[in-house]
Amino acid sequence: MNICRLLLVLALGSCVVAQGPKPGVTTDWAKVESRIAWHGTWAGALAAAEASQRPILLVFAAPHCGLVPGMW
Amino acid sequence: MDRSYLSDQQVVAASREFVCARLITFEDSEEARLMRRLYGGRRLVNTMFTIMDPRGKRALVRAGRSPRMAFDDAVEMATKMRAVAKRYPGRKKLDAADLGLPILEDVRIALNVTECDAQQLVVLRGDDQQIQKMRQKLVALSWSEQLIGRFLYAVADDNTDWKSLKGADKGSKAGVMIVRTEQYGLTGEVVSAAKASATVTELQEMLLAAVASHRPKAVDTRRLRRKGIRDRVQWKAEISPPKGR
Repeated sequence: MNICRLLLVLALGSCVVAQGPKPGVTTDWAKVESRIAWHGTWAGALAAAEASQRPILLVFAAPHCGLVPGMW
Repeated sequence: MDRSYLSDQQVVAASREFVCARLITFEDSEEARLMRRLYGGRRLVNTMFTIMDPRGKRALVRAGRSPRMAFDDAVEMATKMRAVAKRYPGRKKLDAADLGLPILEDVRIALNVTECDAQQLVVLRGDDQQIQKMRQKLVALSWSEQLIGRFLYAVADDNTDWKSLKGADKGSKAGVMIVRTEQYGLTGEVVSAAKASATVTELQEMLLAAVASHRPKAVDTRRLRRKGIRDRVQWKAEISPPKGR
């Protein structure tokens, strides 16, 4: 039982480190004025970069934490 | 994902001179190969960050898990981005169509990402020709000052699970739908819709009205994660995430 708990803590901990914000930090999106417009596929981004000759800001992210969806 | 840097307003302003790509880890084998190449052939990790040249060949910033690994703070990141943009200034005469619609094709993933970002989702449905025309109408709107970064875009196809979109079904007509998601981003509700034949002005009015009426809620990620575990809600990725990632 204790090993299960330890594994759960480690799994959640690794997710928190990867996701950036500290656990429990509340994101108040209403206060974010402007946002980055993201291409969601590499093919789309590459086509846009080639057409515009602009550099690429590239991020990979998984839309789940501890496999719970709806959060980065 | 490191929101503290990527939602910083200096970084957002600098991003306007870039093509910004946020790829969804564990969902596409081709993109997984790209991550492995950039991240030194190691196993997949759930987040990665870098800046690349316009050909997508060369990393200009060493790939790391997040912007935090590369920069002390968001100000330093924005400064670096401005320097890169100066080195690669892009084409002077640029049409919105060159930038393309910032789209995440798959509706299931797009619902989830929309909720993660507390945004709204625009879903296009129709045959190939109708989709192409709708994309042409939406592309300039998507990069306009009032609407940039406000919506995620996706295209419904044969694989779309219509049960996940309340207010739409398999028999619905071709057109553009605006969808708001529930807390886990597994389902959503159509809040407004337009026919495929809608004009650019009509689409603009619909999108602006959706922005004006949208009240994104603050999200406590720790609480949501605990609730999700209690509710036994699990995301099924195309590629199994490695344990202990």
